[in-house]
Amino acid sequence: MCVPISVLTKGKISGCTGLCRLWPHISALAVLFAGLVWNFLRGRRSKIFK
Amino acid sequence: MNWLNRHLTLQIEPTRRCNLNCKICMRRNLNESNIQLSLENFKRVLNSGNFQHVCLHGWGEPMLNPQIFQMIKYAESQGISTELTTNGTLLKENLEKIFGSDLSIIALGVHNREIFLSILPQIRELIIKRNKERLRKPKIYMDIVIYKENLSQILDLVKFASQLNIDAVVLHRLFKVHPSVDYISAEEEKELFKKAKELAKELKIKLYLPPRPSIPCIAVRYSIFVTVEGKITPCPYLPELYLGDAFNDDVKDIYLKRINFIKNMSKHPICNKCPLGSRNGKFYY
Repeated sequence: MCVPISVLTKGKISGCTGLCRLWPHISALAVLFAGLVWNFLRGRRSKIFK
Repeated sequence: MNWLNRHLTLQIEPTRRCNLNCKICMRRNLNESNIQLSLENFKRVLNSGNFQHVCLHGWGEPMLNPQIFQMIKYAESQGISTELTTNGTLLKENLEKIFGSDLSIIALGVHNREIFLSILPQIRELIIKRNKERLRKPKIYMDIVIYKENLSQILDLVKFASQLNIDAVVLHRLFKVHPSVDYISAEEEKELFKKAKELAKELKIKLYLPPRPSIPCIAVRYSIFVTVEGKITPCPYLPELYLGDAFNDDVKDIYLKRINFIKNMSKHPICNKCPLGSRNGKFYY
């Protein structure tokens, strides 16, 4: 078979640690979390000024 | 859009020439090509995507390309890990270059006991040198294709791998390319996997069994294949399925074509019989 063993083993055999495959998910989560925090802070600030 | 390709492994074919003529290999069904991948073209393809891992093998023996170790060295110098699958016949003459290039993974494509025994001294030399110099790279794996004729030899090959201190054994199913070569039955496979797992546990060697078939399959989901002529295809089993020209177009530009292929993959006649994609077991004998 010609398919690379790193692909066949879903990255368990790999030159990378496997974390590189998760970067898109980690980035998306960070953006979501930042949005949530920003929204929360904005809500608190508007309450204080009322 | 570069980050979209980040999770993909680039598999690129350095040559289609081979010094063996294995009957399980798809190379026999492909056009003979004397073209070799040049270092310049390799750099171009590598730099056109945002790859983390590159595999330098296709349907030929990669060490027959005289620039293969320069390609590996270049990729490693860019922080991209490298891998190649070889038939092991040219290990001895390339021993220094293998270590000098910083190659991350070497997989020994072994399909029967006779070939394995013929390359055994070379494998031993490779492992002794790595262990003697206490090098972490390359990791050495044995890559075994299961088919009807070698079924009785698989467990012996696992034992040999353990005796040699090979890092792990990867078993995978035959992709049928010729009517004279068959895969085993589902029952035979079940029994083999059971015995192989028990043996690996007893010998304390890591064993990887074939993945469960899925659509999209793991090959298409996690990698992209570039032939020696520069054709971009979704996987090595579809070398005629042209998604773009890797030497002139950017690899990232084929992203949409690839997505379109994945959407219609379940209807593809080859994917339906492939051991990586056929969920109804059409690949069994």
